[in-house]
Amino acid sequence: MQGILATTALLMALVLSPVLAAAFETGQIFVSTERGNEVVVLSPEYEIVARIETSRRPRDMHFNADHTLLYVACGDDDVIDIIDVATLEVIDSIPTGPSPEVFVFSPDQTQIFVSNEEDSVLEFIDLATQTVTARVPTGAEPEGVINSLDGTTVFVTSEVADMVHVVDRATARVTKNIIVGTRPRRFVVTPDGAELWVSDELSSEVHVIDIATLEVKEVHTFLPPGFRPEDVTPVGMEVTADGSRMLITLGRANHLAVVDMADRTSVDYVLVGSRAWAVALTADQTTAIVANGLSDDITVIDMATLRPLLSIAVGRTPHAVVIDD
Amino acid sequence: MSLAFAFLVVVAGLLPAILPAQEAAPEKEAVLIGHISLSDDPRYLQDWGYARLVVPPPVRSIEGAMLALEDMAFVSDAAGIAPVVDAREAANAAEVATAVMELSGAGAAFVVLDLPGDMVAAVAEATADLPITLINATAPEDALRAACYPNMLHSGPSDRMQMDTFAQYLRAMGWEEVLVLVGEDPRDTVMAEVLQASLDRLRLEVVEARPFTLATDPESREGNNVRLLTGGVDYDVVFVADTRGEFGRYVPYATQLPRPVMGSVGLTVQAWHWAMERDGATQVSSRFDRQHGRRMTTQDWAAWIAVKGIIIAYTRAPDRTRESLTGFMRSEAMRLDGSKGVTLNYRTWDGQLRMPMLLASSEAVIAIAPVEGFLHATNTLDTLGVDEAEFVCN
Repeated sequence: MQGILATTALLMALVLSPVLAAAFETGQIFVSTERGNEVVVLSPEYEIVARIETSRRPRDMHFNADHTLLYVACGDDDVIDIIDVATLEVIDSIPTGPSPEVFVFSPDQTQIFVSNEEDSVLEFIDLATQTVTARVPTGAEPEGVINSLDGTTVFVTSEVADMVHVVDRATARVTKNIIVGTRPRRFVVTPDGAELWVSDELSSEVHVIDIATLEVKEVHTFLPPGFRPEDVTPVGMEVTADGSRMLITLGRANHLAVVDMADRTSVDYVLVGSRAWAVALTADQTTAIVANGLSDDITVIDMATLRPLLSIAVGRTPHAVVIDD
Repeated sequence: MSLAFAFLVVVAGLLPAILPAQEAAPEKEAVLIGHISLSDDPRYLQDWGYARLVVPPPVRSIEGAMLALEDMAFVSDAAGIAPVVDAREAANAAEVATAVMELSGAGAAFVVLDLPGDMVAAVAEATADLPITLINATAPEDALRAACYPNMLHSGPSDRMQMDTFAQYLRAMGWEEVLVLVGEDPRDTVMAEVLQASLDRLRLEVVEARPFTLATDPESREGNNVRLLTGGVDYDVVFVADTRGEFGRYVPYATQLPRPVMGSVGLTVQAWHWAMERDGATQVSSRFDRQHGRRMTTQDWAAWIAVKGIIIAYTRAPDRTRESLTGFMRSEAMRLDGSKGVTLNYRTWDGQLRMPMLLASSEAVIAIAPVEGFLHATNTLDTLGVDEAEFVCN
């Protein structure tokens, strides 16, 4: 998936303009800071090179397909800001419903699906016209949003209702509710498109849903040495491009769990900062970066040795991490 | 575990807006939940005293219960239940007992009580033979826990949990010597006694406990002059046991020694505070504020979590007999999200909901207990309140 996007982007960049080419694959790391009201930009050498002032409470972030634009959901101003990756400036804002938290683009990049935490709605936004085309009611405090790989289905969690809503993209209707653990937060779809992983923050679990049948097929728990189950609050997840390893941040347990996807019982734990949430991988899969919400820093992890390399203070309450590669 | 509840998943969301067109709405099972409060509850009166005094915030804990219904609408729909809260106001203990009987007769398995401690005790005894579980949301007396009423759970914090919270904070801060000022209300005496037990457990010291009075005559000056009350002895903090707060509000910034004030005024202990901003607490508070136009209090939270727990039990217990529901409520399988960062459940020995507690000023949450460093053999939340090993049923 990433490969296809990257190839497409590369072709477009080569064909279209030198500006795009310059913006492409800078290797820069972008971190949104919820209470700093900025997106912090770090060089591939982990030097802070820019602080981009955004609308208030920037949270989830995604690049467009060619990585020329970075979209940032800003919860307290009810907008998704658009940052020009070449100039590192906010150039536009898309209005949303109250308190946008997590969003995704449709695979064809024509729509945004965004969870509105305050009024319990999954919003469909048409990207060309920047208008809301559908509002799907969800359980209270919707958060994680993701597409099925074929783009026909959108999944959204409700943190309060302890369920995953299955939303049909064409009709903008909930077709099924899947009960998972307590306070479901985020999603990952495996690269083969077969499995939807859901982190359950308060029941210290990760549910795996079979996307073909929409039934729960596995429930995983994690316990780093020296912790109790109630300390383990899984939130952020990322899967390697080859699907061989799943990375799961464990929140208050201050560790990253790395699951061997072949064996699934084999888990390595990496010590990170305080209340680890978001996690991102570099495109070459050699490095993982974790955002630590309570220690206001990010931890850089070497994926070969599974050792933390360094931590960098970034600003108040880092939320999301994306890498321009 | 989720596989065991696969039957819940069969019924898709039933709100009209999301109902798949081809699916007819199946009949939902009505679930009646009672809520009983006291008309003119002396704990919540706004107009006592001659001064312009609004000490306790206005409390209508039923509003917390209603928020829980709304928050759980999707869960209820998915489980095929239609919960309704029947809110009653009673004028005295006899009316409360009658209301519980009526609710039981109408099929309610749970009633949430927002009542003073003596009435909670009276109604527990009067309705002991009814097939109904009472959830005490707002009476903090430890005696109610120690009474071991078989039909009662407690969703609000006990006195001991509150005082243990102070003690942990004092220990963590190294503030070991406490001057206690005690008022004339019987609840003030209880507060001071429970504080003593909590301080003893952590080897903190009450340097002196001094009674204060609201009388202003010169003969009572040892008890009504804050500088005299707080003079002649050294201490790290002043603890004010003043349930009504009419005297206590004059203590901060007026002590003989420059020391922090806590207890009924200054730094207080709460189960909930509007300024709590972690763990999704902000979203709960803002939903409450939007719906009811005021800040959510500890009492609102206790009614909210009580009703939320009841609905979770209806959706996750093996079946919906009262035995299964209460058995599930009292089991470790109960995992209740109170938006305080950890799962909550009811203690098996005294029916008390375990929960983190907040130390708060009027403006901010200063600390959360269990304070970091306090450990426990099984669950750190059990460092707050009477623990299993020391618990005795009266």
